[in-house]
Amino acid sequence: MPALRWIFRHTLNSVPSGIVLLVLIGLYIAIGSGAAGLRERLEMDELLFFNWWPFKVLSVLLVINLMTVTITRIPLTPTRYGVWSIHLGIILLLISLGAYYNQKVEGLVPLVRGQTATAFYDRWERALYIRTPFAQNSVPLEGLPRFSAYDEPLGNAHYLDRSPLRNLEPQLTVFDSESRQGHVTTLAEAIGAAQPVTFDIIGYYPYGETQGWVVDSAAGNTGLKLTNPKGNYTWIVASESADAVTAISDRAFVEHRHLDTAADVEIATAAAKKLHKLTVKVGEASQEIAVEPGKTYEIAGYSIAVEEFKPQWPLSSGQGRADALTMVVTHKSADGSATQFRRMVLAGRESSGDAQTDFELGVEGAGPFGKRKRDGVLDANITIAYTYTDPTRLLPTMDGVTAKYVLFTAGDSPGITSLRVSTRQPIQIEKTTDATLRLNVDAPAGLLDSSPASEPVAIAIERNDHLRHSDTVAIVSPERRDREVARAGGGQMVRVKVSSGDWSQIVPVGFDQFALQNAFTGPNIKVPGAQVPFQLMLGNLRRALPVAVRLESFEAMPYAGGDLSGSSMMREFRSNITFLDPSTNLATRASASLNEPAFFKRGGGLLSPGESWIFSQASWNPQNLDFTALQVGNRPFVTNMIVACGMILGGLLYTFYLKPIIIRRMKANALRLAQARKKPQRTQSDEPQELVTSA
Amino acid sequence: MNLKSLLLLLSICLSLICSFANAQATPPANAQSVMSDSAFAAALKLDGIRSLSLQDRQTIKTWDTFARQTVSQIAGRSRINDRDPLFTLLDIAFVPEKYLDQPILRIKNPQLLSDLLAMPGLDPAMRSSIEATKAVSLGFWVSEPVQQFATQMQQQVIASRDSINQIQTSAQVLTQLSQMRAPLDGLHFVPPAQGADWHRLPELQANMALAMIDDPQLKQHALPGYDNLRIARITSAITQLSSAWRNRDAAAVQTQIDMLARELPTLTSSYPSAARRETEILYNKAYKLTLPGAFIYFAAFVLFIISAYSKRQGIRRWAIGCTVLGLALHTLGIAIRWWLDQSSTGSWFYSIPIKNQFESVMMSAWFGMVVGLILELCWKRKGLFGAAASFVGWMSLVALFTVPYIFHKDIGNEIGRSTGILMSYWLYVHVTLATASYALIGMSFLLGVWWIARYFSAPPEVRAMGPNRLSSDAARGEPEPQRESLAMAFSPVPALAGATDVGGGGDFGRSRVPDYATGVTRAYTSSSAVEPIRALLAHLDACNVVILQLAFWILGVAIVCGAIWADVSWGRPWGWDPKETFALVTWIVYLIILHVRLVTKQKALWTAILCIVGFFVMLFNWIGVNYFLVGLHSYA
Repeated sequence: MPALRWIFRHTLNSVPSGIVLLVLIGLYIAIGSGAAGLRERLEMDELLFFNWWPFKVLSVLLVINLMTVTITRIPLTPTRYGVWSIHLGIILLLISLGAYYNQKVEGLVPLVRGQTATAFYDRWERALYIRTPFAQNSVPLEGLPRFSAYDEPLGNAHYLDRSPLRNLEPQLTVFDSESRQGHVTTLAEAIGAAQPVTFDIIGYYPYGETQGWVVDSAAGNTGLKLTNPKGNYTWIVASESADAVTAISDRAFVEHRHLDTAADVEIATAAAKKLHKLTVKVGEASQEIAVEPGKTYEIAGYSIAVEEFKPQWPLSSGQGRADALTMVVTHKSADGSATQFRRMVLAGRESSGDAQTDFELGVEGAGPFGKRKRDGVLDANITIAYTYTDPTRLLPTMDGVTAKYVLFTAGDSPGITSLRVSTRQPIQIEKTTDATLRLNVDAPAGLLDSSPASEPVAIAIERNDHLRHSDTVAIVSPERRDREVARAGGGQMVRVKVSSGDWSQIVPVGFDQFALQNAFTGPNIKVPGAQVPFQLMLGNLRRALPVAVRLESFEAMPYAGGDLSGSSMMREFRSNITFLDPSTNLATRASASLNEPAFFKRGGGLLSPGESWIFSQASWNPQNLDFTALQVGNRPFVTNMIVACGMILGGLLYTFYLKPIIIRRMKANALRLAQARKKPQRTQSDEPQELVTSA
Repeated sequence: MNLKSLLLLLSICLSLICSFANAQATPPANAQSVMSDSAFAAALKLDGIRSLSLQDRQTIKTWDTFARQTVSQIAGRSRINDRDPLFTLLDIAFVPEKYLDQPILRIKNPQLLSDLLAMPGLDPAMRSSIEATKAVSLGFWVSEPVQQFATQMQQQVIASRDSINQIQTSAQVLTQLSQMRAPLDGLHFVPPAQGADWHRLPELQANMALAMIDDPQLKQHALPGYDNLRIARITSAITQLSSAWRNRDAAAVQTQIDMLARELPTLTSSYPSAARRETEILYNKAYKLTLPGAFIYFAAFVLFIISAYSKRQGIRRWAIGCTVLGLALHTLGIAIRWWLDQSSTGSWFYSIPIKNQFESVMMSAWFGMVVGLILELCWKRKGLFGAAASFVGWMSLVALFTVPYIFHKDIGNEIGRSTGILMSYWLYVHVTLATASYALIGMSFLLGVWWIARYFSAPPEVRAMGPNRLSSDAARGEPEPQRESLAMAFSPVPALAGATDVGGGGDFGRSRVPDYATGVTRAYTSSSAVEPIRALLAHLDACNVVILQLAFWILGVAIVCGAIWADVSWGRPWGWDPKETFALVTWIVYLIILHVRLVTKQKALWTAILCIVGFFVMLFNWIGVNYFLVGLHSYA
């Protein structure tokens, strides 16, 4: 017992130990806030670090010390009311803070004008989002690290070997279009897979980026290695949709196609010669021919020089687009004179009035294309109907792209066939019987190298039949890390192992702050046997709002002399919102501006504080004033904390500035009292003495 | 067609006409007859237009201020070619080709400079020029290889973004100045009514054109309240000014400058007053009164130190005089800034100058000075309060002069707009209290350092004295000065108001200490040579206690107010942001001091040590956090 008493006296009931606790708490706070690197090594953000058990222990010890010292050492007298108030205030504040961080949730709610939000994105917790063509949902990733990279190649993947990150089996709510009812189902069921689909988080990168590689694999597929004269190379692999195509320049690209047999290659190349078909009628005679741009055809006294294929040409009527072919038609009359004009024919418009349009050539001021004939055609004797058929999508149809090299390989043949299709030139075919091909590319700028070149470049092509695509996540080098972006979570990546039965695939998954609001950027994952693919995205966890929020309008107010562009300084932002409370069906208008948030309160009474939520103006987009984001959070125990602070500051005021006055007055009163007592006492004591003396 | 596009169209037409007229009026100057730049600059008197007003970056300022800021932004120093910034500004606007190849875009970041010098394919002559001047020309910077290099750098090294953006902004400012369709058309002119939109010259020219059109539909877009005749005269003056400037015709330039100086202030009735404009120029010329204030505070500090060791009461009076003078200048500086900013915001409340580092340091030092002066006058502590306050005032104003004017670092020294989140009354409460406490902590630091220096340099017999005789307890129980009832009422230490040498004139050798055994105060009249040192130490500690208690309480209130503001602004009262946490750590340091004084015998020594610790924690919180840590208080 004496030992316990000694411990009590020198620890819990001791001012020096209270000071030591204060020093430790001060150091803890300084380290947690100032030495972010140390905190991050422990995989903790500020909230986690200041909610960690050592800090809680220190706080609890301080509370006990304060309580003990206050009760046992400080008598509750008027001169010590201040100290009592301070100590009780600190105790209340520490307890309230502990409770506050235990219950606190906050995050961002993105709002678009006229739309209602029912959920917000948590500030700290993250989730893995799954999206199929018909449903989407998320799986919370509690315990996912934050500051360091963890993965098998880094030798620390065991950190992720914990239950919230392993064997995740997501569920989705699928809506039945007929019954308009949603029902919860597994991902496997939602995508039509036979076996359950599970996820394992096998890698985490705070600053990551995806890198696609083609690797040698015995069970791989056929691919081609393209090497430029400088020795730079790239791979194209037909079976990998992301790797099957590579750009040569901004106007041409190369594509690899692997077919079963050499005969299929023959069919495909032959089909390329039949992409454009013209039905030419001269007088009563009609002839159907397959044409290629860059070639000239002679038909019944007419010479037709096919110029260019224009995919998705905008119609002059402004109503839609159509595939078009332009050609120069020359008619030589019997006397040897020739008339020439340009004709544009639209695919599949045999009967319509705008199926063919003529342009007079050589007209001054008309431009190189010629003067358009607005009504009718220049030569009604010749009618040209155009059919464009490209079922295997050989021709490039993107704006500005004029050529495509399709490199065919066949399963039963080691050779390579190159087919060049162009919007302006005839088909070119080159074949080899061995696994290499040398190709002169006439639009080389940008191929495997950013340096522009004016001469055609010889590309060496080499076939490999054992290739597989592999996505890896690379760590972004420290100098390329953007901490501002990282504060909003940008740059984070996880590697997810998707498994279903014996099948598995490792997918790198990127982060989006508002994952469900935007398109997923990850690859489509197709589980063998499943009917539809799905995609994954990492994001902040969505939580339900206590009340639905609709953005009525958003206002950005610049200072005088400014405008609404991002370059002007804004004086104020205001979101005018409506709270739609599902429990009461009440709609309440509110506005949240920079320093004047909107509050939503529910319940509460004499004994219960109720539920209080705050909606603060958080961000805006200068390019889209219909969008804003509000910070939302609950406010547990805030009133208690304010009361505690009041007690501390009031107590300090009392102790520093009122107590001295009280003491002085007490002293003065005591002195007066003593003097007042002294006089009568003297009189009384003197008198009897005198009396005695006299007696 | 909306109003903006219509005005734009009209302005382009007018600008083309102006440019054409300008070109007609500006024949290629004969090289021999052209005045040299120096002679031309010397022949001009630009004072007439120096005090004209314009609006730039949503702030109303004089042309002088605008020119100074623009030149500083472009060149990273106050002058280009050692010329008046206003001359340079007009020269860039009127003769832009002259500046295209001049290396005037300063590269401040050493890393960027070395990266640029290592750029592949850099011409050796250009490399040596960049090395020598640490600057590049606009022509060089906007060239394709350099822009590619800059883009590549920004992508590969995130840390280089700010320094590259700074040069991009400088280049942009220079480009804007040199690519104006008509000279000066980028400037905004004062509107006819306060609060109305400010318009650029082309818009006013378009407005002039609208007046000549009979179409009532178009007329409804006209800007009311402008005198078109006057605008025409101004347009003509600017056009002729441009032409004369290019010809280096000083007399003609002067004529047009005088014309603009006469016409522009009378363009609208809401033009800022001449007094305001002239004051702004003087305020800037006097380094925003930082340097004069720093000199006077330094003098006060030295005099207070001398008075602490001297028997002559007159020195203290001189010190107080200097402090009052310095404080008056300091107050004037704040008041002028407030007044000038008010013309841009239109609100006295939202113009209170405490919104950035420059203003908060300025205000902090002011609070420190006021509190220090009051304490000095009330308790007459041999100049100790005065010395502490003037030290804080001096150091703060020196920092406010040095950082922007010597190191050319932007700490908000120029009047401008602040981010909208700061436009709250909580800013004034929270920041004012926080900065006031920082000033007091600075004062406490000086007293702590002084105490430690004197203690360890004192003879051994002083250190051998009882701890009570070296701390504020030595003053406890002394008679209270009857004529200082206010001081008594608010005395933080019960008997502090009963300071020694109340009547002044005495040295510390005549101080008093209580006799704790009898409870009777007796005069301590030691003849010992060490008694003055002992007394000085006791009084330093007593003063320190007064200040640290004030600092502790004020900082506590500031933290609580900050938490309340954070609750309504960020949705949480406490987010463990570095600024918040280090303010709390500072407060905890002072909390420790108060408790250490209860349990230790060497209370003065521990107080001094912890006050120094507290000061450095505060300094880290105020300045260091902004530079070393990432947080939400980036503007603080």
